[in-house]
Amino acid sequence: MPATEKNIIIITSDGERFPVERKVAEKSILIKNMLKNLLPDEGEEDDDDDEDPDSDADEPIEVPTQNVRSAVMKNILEWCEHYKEIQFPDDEQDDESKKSAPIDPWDKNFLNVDQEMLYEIILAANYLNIKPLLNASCKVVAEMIRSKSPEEIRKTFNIVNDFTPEEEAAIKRENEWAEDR
Amino acid sequence: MASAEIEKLETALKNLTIQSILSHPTKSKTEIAMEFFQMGTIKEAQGLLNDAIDFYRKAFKLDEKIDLKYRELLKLNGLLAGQTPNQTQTQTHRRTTSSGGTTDLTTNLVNEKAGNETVLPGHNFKLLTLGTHVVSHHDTEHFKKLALDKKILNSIHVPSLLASCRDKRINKLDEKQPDSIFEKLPNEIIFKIMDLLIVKDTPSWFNLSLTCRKLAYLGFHETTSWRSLCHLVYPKQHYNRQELELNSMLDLETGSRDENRIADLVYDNNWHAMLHDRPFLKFNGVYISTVNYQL
Repeated sequence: MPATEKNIIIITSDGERFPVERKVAEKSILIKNMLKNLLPDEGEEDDDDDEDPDSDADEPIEVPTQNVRSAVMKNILEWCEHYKEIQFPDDEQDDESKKSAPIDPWDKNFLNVDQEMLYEIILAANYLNIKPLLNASCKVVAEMIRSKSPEEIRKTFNIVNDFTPEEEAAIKRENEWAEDR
Repeated sequence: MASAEIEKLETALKNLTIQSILSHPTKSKTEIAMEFFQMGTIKEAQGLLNDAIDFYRKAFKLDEKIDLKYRELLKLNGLLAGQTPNQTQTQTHRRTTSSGGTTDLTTNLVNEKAGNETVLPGHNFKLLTLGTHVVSHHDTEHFKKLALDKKILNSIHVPSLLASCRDKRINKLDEKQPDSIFEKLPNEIIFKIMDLLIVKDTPSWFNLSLTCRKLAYLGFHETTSWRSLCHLVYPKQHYNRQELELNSMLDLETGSRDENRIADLVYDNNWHAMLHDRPFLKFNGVYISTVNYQL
């Protein structure tokens, strides 16, 4: 099959259909593993033929994603499209240097959305298993927290302080030693 | 107080002798000590540490509890400023008639003195301030914290308080806004965000965990944060090999140090206890050794 053919159709929770290239869809490890079972790469032996006689390489494959709505999927696919030529390492190890690395400027700009959308992107990236996107979006949230006082954090994230002043002071006092590692 | 006045006071204080302090016509020993102490704080703020030490030392010689008395004065000043911002005489009078408590009486005293001088009841202390220093919101918060009920504070058992927060939800600060994303995100993601904060900026993790019960439970009670902190701190440390062997902290087969193994064997998988009890050097600051000679 031609590499650019958009023969994977992602169907969102609200029924919208997104035809995409396979390598775009495979940025999601969830979809990648799903496709590996349904549609083996050229060169790989297709052992599943007996179990799956309807699977035809030229036919588009529909991938339903029940947890993601179309407005969010549009964003997710824009991200996948941007990174389609880049191979992310599959290893689960996220070491310290990776954690403290700054957010990629393109990602930062891409994730410059309201909190509601950011939240949905995080959930979708988690569900679809897109590690680099999940990492970048968590970093954006972390950046929103950095160098803010508890009171400022509450304001930013709409959190009510449900401690009494004494409780807050007691917890602070008990854990203060760890703040400065 | 204007800087000219401060200079005048400084010269006056410098010229005082023990004799003249003891026989001062208007001021008591403690009042002069307070002036010395406040001059010390002013010098300290200006970075003139030798001068500051000189003033502090004289203040303590006159009254060994002067630091506590100074703190009381500051606290009173902060609380008053916090209670009645932009206070006017009329407001105060209304307050006096409505409640008539002791606070209002002192507020009146402050107003009579006008401007930025505060009087501690029962003493003739004035709080010296530089220029037109206004107690900021931050200071007020700080003084309110000082005014916490110590009895309640000390009766709180933090571990059980945190444990009780397990199933708490995050309530909305602003009803019109959508739920906080921290209410809706799964815990594993919140841990991930906290982990990122610990690596990049540990105080932010601390502040986030202080915001509400649910996040305090996740940040302080759950072991995840403590494990992250341990993995951040201990691999950078260099310990004496023999001590490590003696404390069974070294894998004898490979000769390497594995933090997971140490936490398991020595600290019973309690990462919080490990971070708390196992010594480590901090690399994000400067160690200063101060040597004091008592004569």
